[in-house]
Amino acid sequence: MSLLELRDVEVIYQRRDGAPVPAVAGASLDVEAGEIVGLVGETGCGKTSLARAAVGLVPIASGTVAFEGRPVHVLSRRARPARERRLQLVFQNPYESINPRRTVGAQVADAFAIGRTVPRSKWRQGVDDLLQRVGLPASISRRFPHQLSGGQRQRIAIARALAADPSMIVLDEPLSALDASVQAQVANLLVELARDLQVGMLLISHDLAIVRHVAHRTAVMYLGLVVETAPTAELWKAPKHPYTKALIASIPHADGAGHLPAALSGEIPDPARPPAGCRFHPRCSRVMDKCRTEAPQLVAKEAGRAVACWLYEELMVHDQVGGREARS
Amino acid sequence: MAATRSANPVAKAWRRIPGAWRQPLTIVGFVLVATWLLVALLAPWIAPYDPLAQSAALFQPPSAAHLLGTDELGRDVFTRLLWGARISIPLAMMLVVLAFTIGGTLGGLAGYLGGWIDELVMRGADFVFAVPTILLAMAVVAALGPGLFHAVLAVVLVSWPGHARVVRGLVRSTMQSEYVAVGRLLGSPAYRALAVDVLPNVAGPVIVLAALEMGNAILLLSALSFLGLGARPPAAEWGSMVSTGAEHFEAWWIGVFPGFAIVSIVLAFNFLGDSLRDAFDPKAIIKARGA
Amino acid sequence: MTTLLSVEDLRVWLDTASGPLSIVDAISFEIGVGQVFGLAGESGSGKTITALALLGLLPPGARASGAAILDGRDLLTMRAAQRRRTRGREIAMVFQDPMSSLHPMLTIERQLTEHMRYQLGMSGAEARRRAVELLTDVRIPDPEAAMRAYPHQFSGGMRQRIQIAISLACDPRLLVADEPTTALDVTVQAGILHLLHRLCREKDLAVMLITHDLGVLSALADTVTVMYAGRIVESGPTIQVMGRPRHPYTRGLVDSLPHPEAKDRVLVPIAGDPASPESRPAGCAFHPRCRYVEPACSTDVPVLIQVDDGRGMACPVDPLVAGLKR
Repeated sequence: MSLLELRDVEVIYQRRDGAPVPAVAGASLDVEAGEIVGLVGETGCGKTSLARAAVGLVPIASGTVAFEGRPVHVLSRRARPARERRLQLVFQNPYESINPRRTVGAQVADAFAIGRTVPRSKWRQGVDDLLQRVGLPASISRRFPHQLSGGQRQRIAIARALAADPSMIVLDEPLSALDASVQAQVANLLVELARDLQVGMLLISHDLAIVRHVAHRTAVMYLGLVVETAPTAELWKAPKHPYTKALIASIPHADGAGHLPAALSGEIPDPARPPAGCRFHPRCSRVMDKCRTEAPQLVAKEAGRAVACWLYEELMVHDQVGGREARS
Repeated sequence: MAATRSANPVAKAWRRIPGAWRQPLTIVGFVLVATWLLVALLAPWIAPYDPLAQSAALFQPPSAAHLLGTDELGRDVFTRLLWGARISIPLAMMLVVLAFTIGGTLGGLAGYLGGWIDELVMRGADFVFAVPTILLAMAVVAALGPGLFHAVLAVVLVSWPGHARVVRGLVRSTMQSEYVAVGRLLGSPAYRALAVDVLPNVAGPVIVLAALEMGNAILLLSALSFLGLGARPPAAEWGSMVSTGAEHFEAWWIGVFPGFAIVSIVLAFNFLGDSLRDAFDPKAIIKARGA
Repeated sequence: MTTLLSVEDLRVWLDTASGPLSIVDAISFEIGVGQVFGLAGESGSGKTITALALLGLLPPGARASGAAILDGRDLLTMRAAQRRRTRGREIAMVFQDPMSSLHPMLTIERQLTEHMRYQLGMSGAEARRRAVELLTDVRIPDPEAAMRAYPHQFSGGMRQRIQIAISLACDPRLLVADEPTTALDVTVQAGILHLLHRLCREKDLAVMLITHDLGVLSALADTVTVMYAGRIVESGPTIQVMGRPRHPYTRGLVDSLPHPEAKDRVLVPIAGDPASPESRPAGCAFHPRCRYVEPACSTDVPVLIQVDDGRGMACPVDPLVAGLKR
């Protein structure tokens, strides 16, 4: 049983003109304690919707979201169940996810005030400890958000989540709003926290390079589905899914050598009208007849790798590989 | 090149006032409002005459005996001006408090609960907005009967939607903000978000609106009295004094001075409201605290 | 390399209540005909303001001094009418967010042709024909249909191509591109990079490529000039500046990027936060964050010195530079 288990999750939004948009069309994912799983994908892949569904911010149309073995409730006007407070979310924009009119120290202490697990006399110390853990000086707790830089604010957001003593944190593009030289600092912090506190992390990002460096395992999403998952190093060394390959090939290398990255033909289709069969088939360089009509499932391969592509299904049928039939 | 700081104690005290509050308009607003408040408070002691005391000296122009002249019944205009503040200001305050209590509560409920409550409150507000303010106020007073108390009710009726709309907007946008979502994820029930996140966001704009509305309230009350629908004679109310002045144009001092009084106090509250708006910016709070 | 644009001693400052705030502090550089000139830096570095100064689009309250000579004329001292002619005709600009730089309520045709008719005096029919040509050039599928459409009907990548098409309408010599791909997905970015590369070659177009993304610079730029806190800290051919960076800041930037072969999961970040114009440290602006800092760094502003062929460096601590000075 994984710490966080997403199975065939569907998230549907109502567009203003009435047409329902399936932002997530049946995605499956697992995260274990102490593990950082990177979730990458481009616009329209549904990774942000999946992140929000994972913590209960948005309802799911079908599928299951299980945290520590029990289903996750959708947020209503009532307070969240106490055990679900160990599942937290850090938002992308540190300029919007912190109340500009309250001191940052008060906001970090919110989890103490709400959870009532820590006596009031210990709050000050608790906040100072958390600030230290995220690499900020204790004196910062009296400041207001606009006095802090983006990197500092994001650390405050992380400290705020840590105050709830989480076992799992979902981070939605936590580094995108930060300067390049600051991203590395916060990325290192995340790695440290996962290791020291044995917190599981689901890191959503469009920046494959950072995910590569920080995540133990990586999942790739395309148009509402998870198309491949693998240990990060292997994903980069030997990507299986054609989209993963194209994604990796399109990243420019910062070596100064002047090589243009390979371009992927076509455009991302409208999520409301996805292609029939395999969603990637119109842009795939290895497309077969089967791909146009039947959608491949995410199937486990060797050691922790799974891919949703007919290229590998054919092989599997022939090779009769044992291994888990269960999706992962 | 360091400038030598003067050791003048007044200058030193001046510099200790935080930057956000040291603007010229803020000072003017504060001083004017404070002056009028003092006048309202101390009128019985500083006024030279009894505001209701009639005399034989009718329509006297301003002189040494009567600083601002006398009116059609020989009453001292200056005295009545000072006493007028005792009517307009407290009434306006009561009015504004009522308006933002009613309007703020309705708007807050509408923003927080949404659904049919939201619809009801907003359509009610739309109705009030659709009708020209002064006409609606007149209609209400006409229905209830003339008198200052009814005039106050009328002005409350036309003022609450402004507060409701502001509060509703703030409550809605705050409840949908990411930091409230963070609080919810930390386990706070929705009503805690109201107290902790919404209230600080709402307090500032509401206070600013209240200050600005004071000016509006005084203007409306005076207007209703001018039309004979508010204060009844012989009360020393500025609006009715202006009305009398309009009937006796040659004795210009009867109407002009109360008119100036209305203008000055409305301006004062507007300046105050504008500077409060600037001062409530979180960035200015830091300057104010000197952190 | 023939010089197209020569910038000398450009300073930009903001008139604030507490005195002038320096944003760009005396920078000089040259852009050659058909050259892709990369301008790298993070927020607060002054790279965008530099571009705005050249185009005469500085925000109110900002002033510029120095010289920016394009074809014998100084861009900074041009009269408004002449500047309007130059902007769009000889220099064009492409911004980061195509949603806010395309007019949401005008058709693509209108946005393309209006510009051409004003600058080049073309007739409606000529402008229309050229507009379709331009859209084809930037690889917009079905250009005729695209002409009748509105910006919101296109994806981010397509809108960026349209923006590029508009900027090329009057055949400019220099294209200023400010973070042209930052808001785009990486696969879409690759397409735009190919497009810009091809257009440069075909039209002998010089590009001033402003970005913080070292990968983009590496793919497109011929030379890279790195800015920090309003000053140039390093410049030179891309292969040199990025392959073997010398200035501590450039080194820090390259080191903080994720490596392909990192064993350890720790990235080597640059400590502290980027300097902003309000909080620029005395002496070398980078010294509080620098690994190689020496006492003199907090007082002396480093001068940009030419080291080996085509490279400029502004750091006295670098042993090679120190050797030259002696």
